[in-house]
Amino acid sequence: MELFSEVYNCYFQVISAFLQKDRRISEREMRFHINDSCFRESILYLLPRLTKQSWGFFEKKDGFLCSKLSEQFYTPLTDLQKSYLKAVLLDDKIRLFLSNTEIADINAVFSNIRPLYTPEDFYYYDRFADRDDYGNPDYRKHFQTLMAAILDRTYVDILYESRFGHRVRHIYLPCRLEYSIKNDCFRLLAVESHRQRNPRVEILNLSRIQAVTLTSKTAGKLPDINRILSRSYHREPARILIKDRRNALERAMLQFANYEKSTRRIDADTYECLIYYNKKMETELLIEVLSFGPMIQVVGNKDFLRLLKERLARQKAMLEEIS
Amino acid sequence: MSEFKELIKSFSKSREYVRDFFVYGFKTRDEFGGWSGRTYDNERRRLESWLSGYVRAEYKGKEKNIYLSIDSNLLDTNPLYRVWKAKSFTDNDVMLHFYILDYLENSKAQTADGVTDGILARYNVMFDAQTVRRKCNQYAQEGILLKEKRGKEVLYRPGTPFRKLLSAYPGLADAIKLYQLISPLGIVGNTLMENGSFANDLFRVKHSFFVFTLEDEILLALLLAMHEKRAVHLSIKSTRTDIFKETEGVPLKIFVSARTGRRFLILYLPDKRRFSSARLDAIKKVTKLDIYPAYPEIKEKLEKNKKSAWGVSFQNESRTHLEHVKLTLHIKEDSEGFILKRLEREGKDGIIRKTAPDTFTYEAEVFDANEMLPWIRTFMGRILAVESDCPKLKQLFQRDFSAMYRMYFSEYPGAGAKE
Repeated sequence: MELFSEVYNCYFQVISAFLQKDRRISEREMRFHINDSCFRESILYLLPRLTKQSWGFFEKKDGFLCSKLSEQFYTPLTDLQKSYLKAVLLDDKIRLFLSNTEIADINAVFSNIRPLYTPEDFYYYDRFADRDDYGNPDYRKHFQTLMAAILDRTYVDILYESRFGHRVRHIYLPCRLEYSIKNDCFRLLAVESHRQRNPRVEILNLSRIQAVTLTSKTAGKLPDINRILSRSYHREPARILIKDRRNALERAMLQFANYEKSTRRIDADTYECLIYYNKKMETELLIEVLSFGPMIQVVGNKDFLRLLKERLARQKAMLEEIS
Repeated sequence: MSEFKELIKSFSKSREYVRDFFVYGFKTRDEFGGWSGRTYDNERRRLESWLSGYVRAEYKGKEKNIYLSIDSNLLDTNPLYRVWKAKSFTDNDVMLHFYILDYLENSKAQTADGVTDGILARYNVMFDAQTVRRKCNQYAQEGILLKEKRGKEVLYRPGTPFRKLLSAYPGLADAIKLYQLISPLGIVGNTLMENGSFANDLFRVKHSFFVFTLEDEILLALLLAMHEKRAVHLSIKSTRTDIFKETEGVPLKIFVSARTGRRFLILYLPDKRRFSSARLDAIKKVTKLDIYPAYPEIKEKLEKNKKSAWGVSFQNESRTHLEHVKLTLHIKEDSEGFILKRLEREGKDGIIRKTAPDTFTYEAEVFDANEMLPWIRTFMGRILAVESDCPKLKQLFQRDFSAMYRMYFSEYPGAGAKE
């Protein structure tokens, strides 16, 4: 089973798409799709071979390129892909999408294929223990309702229990479901209204949702939550200095790899890293920074530095009181 | 001097470059050691081509510094998957792919000779029968074509279209939208989305390390060896010193850190009779060896031992069996319940006790207490005492705290602490 195979090459994929969807296509459209789904320089190699009879998949008619292959063209799955599907069917979250009967049926379709991996092959050794209960029928129902609401752009009525045990009812437009690998849980990213000029993304833990029902209100288009989330990032990023000792640089760069960041060398063994974050990510980022101890130093922004210094001052006072 | 090509034959060299650009993101032409300037220029151009849209450039004086800026919280898929779609191919590869599959889709099962003749008749393209047979066999091995023997003839036919499965089980497409982002070898899920012509319009992922995908070829080889219960020979390049070392062992499990962005292979070393670990990103080559007869027994032993491993270490410096760690923390009961919650969910079944008003202890027994230090530091501001039968732990904690305090409260702070 080859992972790095030409079968998955993006040139093959874009040609497949042309054959299946765009039976009659202009060179301009072809150019657009290649630029959109392949690499930056693919057009130089690929376009002449598709338009000038080199591979012969298309012929020119009335200024358009028409497929010479059948409309039903498809690429059958590879064993690697079937084997991956079998692996996915073993995960406990799969029941949020498929019933037991459906899982058994799909397994039967690929009865001669072994799963690519099993849950027992992996151990997430620092994952949090209070994971969501994916086997809970209410949870599954809420999850499916929210998926339907996102796809249909429908507002939902949610009864939610807050961290402090208060129950609140509210109407939201669900935009995405966010899965946290560290917490092994889902959160809903939603807005109160798609018509707001400056909407805020509300984050609700799925495990705290007590009830959710679809309303009759829909939105023409989901808001651009990337823009909203990016706008929520502090204007001034956290600025940290890393002394490259005890592999600290490599460790820090890896640990902060899932933040938007930029790094530069400022002298022989010191590096400056800017990390972009918002208010909701602040405590988590602070905890991650603390875990490095003296190997990294926060130098900005002012608020983030203050939070860190407060913790250190409190720790000093605590140790002095004991001694 | 070789001509620049966007596609590549083998992934291993580019893997190092993409990793360095993605993880570090600050290396200039001169800082990349080991390869010539021309190689750097080609790799950089390739990376800019593969990942255009995510590549940013900064200038340091006259030097151009490019880096990858990827915020995993905001993406529908992992942009680094694109590097897996850059395998080079020949004109014959691409033509045979489309003509063979299209011809077979519209015919009954055929021999390789029948396919060769059919392609000539239907598309007016001539191939050598041997070339067609080789491609049919390659695709049968990949699972794309089904191969059956009827009498003396070998017949080929295509597998079922994925779209049939998707229309019978609509929930499957939504599941793939999620798993391609969060599962091991998610790149395969991403190729399924392409095959089924759908995109992820439902999910986002948090705490995902997109860079993991660069190790997927190594992971795949290890999983296959694990499932066959085989020992392996590994070529490992130290992440600190760049020195290669060769090792042999029995691969048992992949330990994943959801916090630090590292994945480890846990393997058993039969000659040393102990468990060991190797970072997946440091493993450069995997060679399968013989089946290891006692595989089930050592796997069971690992399952028992993993409960007492805080991270990936199965022994400590003093070679004692387990080390005891006790933290005493100041936690305001009425307003800081979330700290207790943190201890419960992150503390791996450690025992939490209330010992006085607003004072709690957390106790655990682990193989290597030093592995707990980064976690202990995260409670800075609440720690009343750190106790352990590993004396180094307390010393390290105190040393680190003093260094941090000096760093932030001395008049002339510098980056990092003096050791």
